[in-house]
Amino acid sequence: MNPLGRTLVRRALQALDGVRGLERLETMPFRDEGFGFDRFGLERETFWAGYLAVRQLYRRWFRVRSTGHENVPREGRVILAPNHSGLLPFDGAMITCDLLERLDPPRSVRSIVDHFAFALPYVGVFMQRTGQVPGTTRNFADLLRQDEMVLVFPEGTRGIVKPWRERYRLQKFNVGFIELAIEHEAPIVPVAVLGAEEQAPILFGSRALGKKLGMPIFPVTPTFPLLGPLGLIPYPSQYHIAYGEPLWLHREYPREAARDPGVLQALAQKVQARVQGMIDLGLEVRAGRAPASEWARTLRATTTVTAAANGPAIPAGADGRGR
Amino acid sequence: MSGLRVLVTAATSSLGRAFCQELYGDQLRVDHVFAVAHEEVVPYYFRDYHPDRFTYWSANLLKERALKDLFLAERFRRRGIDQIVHFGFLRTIKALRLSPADATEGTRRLLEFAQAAKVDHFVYASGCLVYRLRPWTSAVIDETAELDFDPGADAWIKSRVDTDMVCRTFMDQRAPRITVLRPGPIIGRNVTSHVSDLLDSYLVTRLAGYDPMMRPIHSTDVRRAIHRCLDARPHGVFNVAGPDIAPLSTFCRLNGRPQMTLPGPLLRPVNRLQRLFGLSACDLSTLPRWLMYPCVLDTTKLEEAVGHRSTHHIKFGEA
Repeated sequence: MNPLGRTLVRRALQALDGVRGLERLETMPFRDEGFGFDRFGLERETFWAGYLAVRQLYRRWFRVRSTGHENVPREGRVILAPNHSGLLPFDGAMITCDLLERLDPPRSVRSIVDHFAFALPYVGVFMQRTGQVPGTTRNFADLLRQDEMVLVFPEGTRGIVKPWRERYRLQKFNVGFIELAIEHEAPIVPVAVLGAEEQAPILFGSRALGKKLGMPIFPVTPTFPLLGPLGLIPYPSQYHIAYGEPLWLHREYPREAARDPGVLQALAQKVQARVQGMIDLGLEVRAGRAPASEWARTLRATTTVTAAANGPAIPAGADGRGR
Repeated sequence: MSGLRVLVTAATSSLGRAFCQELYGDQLRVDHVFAVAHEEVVPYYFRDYHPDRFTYWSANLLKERALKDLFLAERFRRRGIDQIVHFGFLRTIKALRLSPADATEGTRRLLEFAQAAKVDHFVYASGCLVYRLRPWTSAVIDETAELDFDPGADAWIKSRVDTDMVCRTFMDQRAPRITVLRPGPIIGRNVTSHVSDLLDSYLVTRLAGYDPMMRPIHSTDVRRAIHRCLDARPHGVFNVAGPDIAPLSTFCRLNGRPQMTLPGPLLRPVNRLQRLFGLSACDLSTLPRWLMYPCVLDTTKLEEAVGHRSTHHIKFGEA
């Protein structure tokens, strides 16, 4: 973004959010390498421009409600491990937007993204500028070394291409994030996202056709490919996001455990079970079979020590309900 | 004699010339500079140098005969040269219109002769283009990253990679100690590098939809890094890059020349026209990957080995 573009973003932020908006931009931790970019390509102004755009989806389209922010460490390295669904990764964008809205001072969320997206012209550049990085071990480790908040979908693309009949059933978690969490002493925050499954129900997917087009699958939804590209517009299903109690695996397991495939597999299953449990409870709450307070209570039940150890409590007004 | 006694190849290149001049000027630490280049006449900038501290040797080191003449020469042996800084054979290859592959063979022979002559330390200035850049390449590239063995790559890149590998095969042997330096895109006055050539174009053309992060280095810092390596004589492969990390578009904007982004099918003919009329020295005919994917070098290894940290920020319009 050229200097004029940066100025425009700042003006827009000031116009929409007042001086407070600019303050939040300035206070977001950012490792500037000299020209307004960090070494991964994140540019603060583009990141906030993206946030301003996504915020409309967050507030008006998906009407996100969220809870459990006190479980997200305010500083230091942390891994967010949510479920993944919905064909297009709006769930990642909503989590990023939610944390920007709720955390004070704001923290940038660095998403680990599948490789193929970075090969696309314009898309790849935009993703870099908004803080997303290609999913390599080196990138992941470097982000943790920089004490960043890293968003990784342990299901990978398997999560977003699963058919409708498998909705809210987690696919097998990868183990790479467990290994890095132990090696780099980073807590894992399990995250449950409800609503993304309904934004694009996949009735059928063709892997063969997808492979030819350079995609994981070629999906068939009620509207795609029937309506062409317009059919990819997500349905306005309401999102519910919950952040669970952090798992401090490195406190329980020595670094050597990160080299034991059996241990890694078991721990990945443990995290998967935790996320699945949060999803199941959330579905009960959403269906009205359990009180809304139940979900929040479960998430907060054992977090008193964690919240105290990781910074101030969430600011006033951030009561866990979406705007 | 206790100071450095260094042979420098490609001594008439921009980098080689400045490096020789710096070495010659460092009277306390450098005893003798042995500058080798294929130009027959001693360049004007070397003429006033004292023969006790400076020797200019004209030879095409791609020829085995010329190598023998050099390493068996009384002037060479008397000086007790124990370090070689090899800037490659780019100028010789271009001047004599040889194949880039000859540079690899030439370097291999040079290493063999250096070994036979019991030269203690050999520095090869490679480049960041040896790395294979892909959409999923890590944002920061260290020395263990994958090299570009793509058979469809540009001949110059293939030659660089092969030369790099030749140096690495010699690293397994006891002598000489070998330092392979892989600098980021070098920027500086009259320097030939892919990014420098692009920025020197009258109309800077970039590929639409891509804006790779890069970490260029000023030629001053490259020379400083080599100088440090001559002192510390590290053995291995080391990245070296400047202090600035930014996208290509930022450097193009700071450069001040008019720029334009074009889609691939248009970029190639425009670049071809530019080269035809001498408006650009940058060859984009193969749509090189450095125009698309990031290449930010990790310099931690060199910092730990020799304590070099680049300090020269890229400022366009100055010497």
